[in-house]
Amino acid sequence: MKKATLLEKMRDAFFYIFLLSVYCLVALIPSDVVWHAFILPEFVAALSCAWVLRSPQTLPFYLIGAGALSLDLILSRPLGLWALLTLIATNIWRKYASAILDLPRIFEIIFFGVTIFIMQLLQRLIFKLSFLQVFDLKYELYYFIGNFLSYIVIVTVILRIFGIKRSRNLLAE
Amino acid sequence: MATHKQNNNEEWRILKRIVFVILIICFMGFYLVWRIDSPRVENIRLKLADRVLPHTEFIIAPMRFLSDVILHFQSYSRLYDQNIELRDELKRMKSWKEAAIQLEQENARLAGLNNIRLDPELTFITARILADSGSQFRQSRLLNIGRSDGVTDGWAAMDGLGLVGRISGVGDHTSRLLFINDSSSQVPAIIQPSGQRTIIKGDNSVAPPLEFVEFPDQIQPGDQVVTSGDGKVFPADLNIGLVVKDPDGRLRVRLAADLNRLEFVRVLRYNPSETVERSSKLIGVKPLSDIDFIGPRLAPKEAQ
Repeated sequence: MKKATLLEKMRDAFFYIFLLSVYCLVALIPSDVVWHAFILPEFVAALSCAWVLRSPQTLPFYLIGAGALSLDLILSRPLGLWALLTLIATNIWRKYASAILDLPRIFEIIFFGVTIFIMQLLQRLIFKLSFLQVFDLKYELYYFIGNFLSYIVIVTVILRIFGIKRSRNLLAE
Repeated sequence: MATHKQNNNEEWRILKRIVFVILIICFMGFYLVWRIDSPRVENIRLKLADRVLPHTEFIIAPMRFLSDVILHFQSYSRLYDQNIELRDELKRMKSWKEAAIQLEQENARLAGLNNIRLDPELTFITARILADSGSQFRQSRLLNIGRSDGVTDGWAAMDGLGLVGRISGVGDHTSRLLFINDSSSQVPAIIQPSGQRTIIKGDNSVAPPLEFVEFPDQIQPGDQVVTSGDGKVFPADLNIGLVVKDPDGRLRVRLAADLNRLEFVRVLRYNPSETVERSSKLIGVKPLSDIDFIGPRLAPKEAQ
């Protein structure tokens, strides 16, 4: 059973940080010409879930936590909340990675939909419990659709470009 | 040998699990700290922005250029209509300019006759929008001016047409501009001509609702909304926008400022005027504690 080498781990960590940085910069662009028409989807959860499924060895949980927390901090989100949800979600995905990958691709996408739905639901619940304003359901729905579609884009385009392949997961455990 | 390796792996796995739990607890703690003591966390955010943003300018600049190209392309596509529109507007403006000059002269003459002492004029600093907050949680932008430019918390910002928001958080070289439609923003205002007071409560929409209006029947769509100056955060009489009614019949204000296309804003230097807190100081009456005792007095004890 071959494990990922240190070089592979470092390379993947670099790619992961690079992709998060690009997302962060895109989110920070002041012009609303591009973005005001739609809500920028959440990227870190989709990327981490897709990555963890394919190459769990090269994406440790502390890297996910650090990345998500940095985005929370820079993008003015409630500090730590989305990072916490992402960390828990990716850990569950990591546990069931091989089982999910054995199923057809469509199930993986459906599972991500369910995951992001639960994450948004929990976030809404925590907001209510901590007396914060919650968003319109219509808005949440757009956000959900955006996240859902972003996962498909990430899986079909980004991971292929960066060479994060399914096969590596089989060597993980 | 194999058992030793297995034991090592087991220990490593337990350690990982412990670190994971600690991380989860830390994130919960961060959220609680953010919720309980938000301003302090916001300061940390601004410190981070102060450090990070100047170094990202080389990447943001081409993106900005690209979005400008799209904007310009959009404007070229409706150049003819725009030209006609602008000519009409210019004609109207010329007549308004004449009227304004006459009114200004008349106003100055009358003020001089009555020996009126006017409030000092507001001065401003022009700031460039550096970055979006990048979040659906806050309607705010980061500006390229900060403490080093003399900016302080609470100063109002305008885009030339209307109120945009206020400064909420100042770093050394950057500051955060919280928009008027942010959910944490509440601006006291007056609706003209009825003169009714209201609070504009941000709800992340482009037309925030008007709250606590005493007589909504007296308000018509199209009435002007200006700041009231209550609370001493914003100067009075800054244009905010026009009253509109949403399909549910709720009164809202359509903002005069175009929040979606901001590139520069004017941050108004505003220090609220002095307030009279004790009438005695104003009219020269001594406070009770300062009044000399009336009546017989005991001789002061001499030192033994």
